Amino acid sequence: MLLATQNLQFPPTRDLIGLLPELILSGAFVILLMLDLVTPPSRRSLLAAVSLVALAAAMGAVVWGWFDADHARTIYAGSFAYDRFGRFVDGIVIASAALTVAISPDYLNRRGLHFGEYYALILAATVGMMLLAGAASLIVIFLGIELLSISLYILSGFAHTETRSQEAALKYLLLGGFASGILLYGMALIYGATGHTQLTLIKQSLAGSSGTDPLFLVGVGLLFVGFAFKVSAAPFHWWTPDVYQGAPTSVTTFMSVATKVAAFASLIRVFTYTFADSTDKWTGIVAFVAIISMVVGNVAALTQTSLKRMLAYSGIAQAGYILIGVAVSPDPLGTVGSLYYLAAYAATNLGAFAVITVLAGRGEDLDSYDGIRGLAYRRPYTAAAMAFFLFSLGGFPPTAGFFAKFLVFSAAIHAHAVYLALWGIGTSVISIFYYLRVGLLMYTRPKEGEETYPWARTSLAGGGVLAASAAGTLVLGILVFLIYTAAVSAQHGVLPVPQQLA
Amino acid sequence: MNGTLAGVLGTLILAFPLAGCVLCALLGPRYGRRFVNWVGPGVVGLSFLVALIVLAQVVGAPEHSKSTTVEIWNWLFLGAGNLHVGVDLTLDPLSTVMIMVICGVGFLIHLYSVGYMEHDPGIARFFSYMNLFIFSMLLLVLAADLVILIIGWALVALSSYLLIGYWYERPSAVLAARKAFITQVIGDVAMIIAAAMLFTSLHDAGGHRIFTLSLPTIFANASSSFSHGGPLITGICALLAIGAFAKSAQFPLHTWLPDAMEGPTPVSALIHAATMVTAGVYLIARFHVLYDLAPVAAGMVACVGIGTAVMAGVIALSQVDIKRVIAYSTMSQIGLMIFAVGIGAYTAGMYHFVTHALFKALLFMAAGNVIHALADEQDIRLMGGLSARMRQTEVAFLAGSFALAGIPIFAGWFSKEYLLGFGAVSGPLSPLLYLVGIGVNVLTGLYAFRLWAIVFRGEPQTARGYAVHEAPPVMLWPVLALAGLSTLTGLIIQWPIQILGGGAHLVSGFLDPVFAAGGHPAGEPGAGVAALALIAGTAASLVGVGGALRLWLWHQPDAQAVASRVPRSLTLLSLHKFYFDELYDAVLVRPTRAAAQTMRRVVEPGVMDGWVRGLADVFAGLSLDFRSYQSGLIRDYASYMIGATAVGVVVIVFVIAH
Repeated sequence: MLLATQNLQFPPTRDLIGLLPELILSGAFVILLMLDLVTPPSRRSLLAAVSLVALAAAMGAVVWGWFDADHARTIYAGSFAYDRFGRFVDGIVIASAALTVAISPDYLNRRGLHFGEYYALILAATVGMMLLAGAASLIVIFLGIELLSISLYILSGFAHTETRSQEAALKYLLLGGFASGILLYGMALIYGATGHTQLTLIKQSLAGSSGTDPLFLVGVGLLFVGFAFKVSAAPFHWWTPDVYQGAPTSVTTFMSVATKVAAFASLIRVFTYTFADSTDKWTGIVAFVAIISMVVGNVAALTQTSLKRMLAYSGIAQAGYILIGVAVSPDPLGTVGSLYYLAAYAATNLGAFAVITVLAGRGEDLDSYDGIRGLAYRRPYTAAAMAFFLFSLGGFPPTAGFFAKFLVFSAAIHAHAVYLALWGIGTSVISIFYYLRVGLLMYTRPKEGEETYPWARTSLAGGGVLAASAAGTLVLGILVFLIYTAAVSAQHGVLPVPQQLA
Repeated sequence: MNGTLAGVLGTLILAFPLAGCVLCALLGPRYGRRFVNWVGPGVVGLSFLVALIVLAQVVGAPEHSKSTTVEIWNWLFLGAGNLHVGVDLTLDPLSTVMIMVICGVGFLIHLYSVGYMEHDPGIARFFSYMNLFIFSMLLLVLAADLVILIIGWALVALSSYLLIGYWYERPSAVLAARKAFITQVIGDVAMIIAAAMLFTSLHDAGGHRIFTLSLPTIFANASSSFSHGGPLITGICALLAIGAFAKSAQFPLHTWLPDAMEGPTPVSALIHAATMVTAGVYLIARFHVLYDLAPVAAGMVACVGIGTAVMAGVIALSQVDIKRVIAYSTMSQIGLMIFAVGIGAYTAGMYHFVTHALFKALLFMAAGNVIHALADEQDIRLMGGLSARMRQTEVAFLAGSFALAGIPIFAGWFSKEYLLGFGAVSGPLSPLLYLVGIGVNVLTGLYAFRLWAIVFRGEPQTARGYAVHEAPPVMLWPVLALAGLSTLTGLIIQWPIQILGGGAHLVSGFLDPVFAAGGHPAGEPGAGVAALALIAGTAASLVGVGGALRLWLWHQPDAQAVASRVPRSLTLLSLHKFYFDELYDAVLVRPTRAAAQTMRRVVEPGVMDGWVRGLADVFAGLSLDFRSYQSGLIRDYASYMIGATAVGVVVIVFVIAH
């Protein structure tokens, strides 16, 4: 209590500026709810425009914050980290949200789901993710997770006339509730073991101990389960395929990318940097989960016949690759590799899901493999973009995915965890099969007179989003130093204070 | 030149053709022939303008700062003591000469293509490929990092493959493209191994390893990394030379070039005469610092060059396809250039590269006019007597032939005799190889004027020969422009200076600084030796030309009569191109194919398929197993999660915490 009162003498403006992006989006959330009341149903694209403006403003604040947060500090009595690490992740999350919002109006109109709350909920989830990314206290972590989860529960069930969407929402809610319970229990144990909820203080209190306190270690394990659920790492991935498939595709687009990015950011902050002194105790578990995720995700994806489920399992596998960067803690290259992987994954996976969203017609969501057969002969550019994303997911140069995998694998080798790199490379080989299978289907000429899925016309916004994702995927594969340098800088500035890169 | 300017110019020069490639590919089909005809040549013209600025900048730069290396972007930098690859460009006299030729000659050939490909429906694809080639070639010569150079190197092979197989309905074109590509890949592999060897063996004077393949760094640290004449550097240089041989169609990787004539004639002129095939010469010149450390490898290069020059010259004597004759002549001339860079006469090699690009592109394009006029006839036995109706093309062709044969005052004379002069005093087995070079001069005169006499003189051999028309202006003007250049370039560069008593001429004055740095270029021959070599070389050329005129123009004695007196084995050897295709077929292709078929019949189904299918089945089965747990029931999922968590807690409490 003494420490808390000392820290409470905060200068409010400085703290408010630190939370500027979150505040902008929260304000926009309220405005959107109000605006929705007076906007006629035919004009709801206006709400998307307002959201985009808010997201652009928040992005501006994040970019400004990147330069301002040169010297990392905590704000709000040590509960929120104002550092480059957080800004880096915020940038990815906001970009994902903006791209999702841009493809949403057309999609929602076609599906008859165009309601104003949609945009408000997306922004709320974004705020939750940004809070999570910057959270420097267990309480704020929980707050962020709940804010993003509750918004996503609702969004998953947004197709309120479809049982599948309802089922997805319910599954996500119940299993998410379980995971939150486990997470909270872990937090409680850690608080019990260390007496603190702030990460910096937890780190300090751990510095002296040998880190073998079972109470603390069980807490760490349970906390990891909570995070593993959010990043959909096996064996806590069960919800992922069902929810990704059932939720409206635009929601899946957002959820598959942004949630994972934000949850990974917090996972890295808590494990790699806060529990830095006891890495030998928990990296084994992380490595195990990473391997299980890579194997389960990639193998289960082999026999899928649904695009969304395939991408869900692919996402589970990708979570495994990103976890390699955590499992090699405290090697700073691991963090850099994971951050790079997150950026690459965001650009690529968002693009892949955006393709499915943009093409979805009026009736059923575009989901089955048959629905994409022969796409290249009707929509050559969209098919080319999708093929490009699939190549990136498979890890071919010169795409983002190649360097992402290269960086985490080389981090594993650097940290003398060669077996992780070998597991990664081996499972990547398996993944080529199911990625290229979809690519092959797109380039299979439909038979004479064969009906193809009634793909929607690509609007300007949809085309723009695909182009932006493809550009991001390409830039991360060619201008490697841009994001690599940023990731190194983010790693340098992360709170609690990290090991320095050699 | 300051770095920013160099960066901007280098980027622009690369960006134009790349943009042209993309524009032609994406918008060409929509906007049609007019659009493509403007964009395709236009972008190369723009690059040429930038190249002129570069030339002015490099010429104007003070003596010590002719070379500028600029990092366009840092592609990969994984911290100190780790891999670093930058997209770096070098603008120096050597790369300036290359880009001037690539863009200048390239522009004329692009213009010519507008006429030549007038009736071809795939014009957008054609110009897209052509621009891709120009981009790749520019990347190759501007690259200041071996990784980027290899990327350009491979892209050049790719665009060559695409253009040789441009008429993909013809099986022969597809086969030729494949052959060219496979040969290129052999060279690429050698290059990449060489790069890996360089990467692992580079270290600075203090013995610290260097984690980059940036060319200036390699050259700066070459002497501290390698002992003079050591096995490692000899191996690296030999591997680089194999890469160069594949690209430059030198023995034993030469067989693809004649087949590559399946491509459209402008392609032959641009890629398989003026630019791509000289990349090997450029490579060795660029890596002169390493070759100066590896005299054995350099000597091998020289021997291979001169050997190829003789062999190709002999083959050219008996070929009947107009383009193949010129192709073998190209091979022979590049042999001379390779010989030059092998003996350390880098400047002379590059000088001959420049003049050769001019007159060889000219010969191909003039031949293209003939082929075009005769409705795609390429057999010289069915030509003849075209002189009366294609006067301007003939004049241009003659100018090219004079330059090729090395007749005084034509461009080729200056460069070739200058080159051979070095041979008289430097290189292994000197002056034996020089004497062989004199022999090449005789051969050159023979085949060059044999071609002219058969194609343009005598009587038309087919009815169509009487009805030909001169080529349209868009095809004629580039040819005439090159004819002018082939005639005058040498004079312009050399004559006034020598009259005024200046010793060194313009080209060597421009290029020598590049090769002087750290290297030991071959010594200039003394004035006496040079004069003697000049007279001997010129005499040999004249003997060759005179012989050709007697045999094929005046028919006294007739060529057939002479051929019947030469041992039959010799004529057969020439006609069958020394049986290299047959040899490779018997030694490489057939055994490989037989082995592959055995694999297909025996090993594949029995062994490989077994475990591959088995593995696939295992994973598919595993996948289905995993799926069966994905029941869709919340209670299942929750119990799996709780179960996994419980196991984790048990492990933590009883294993990790102890």
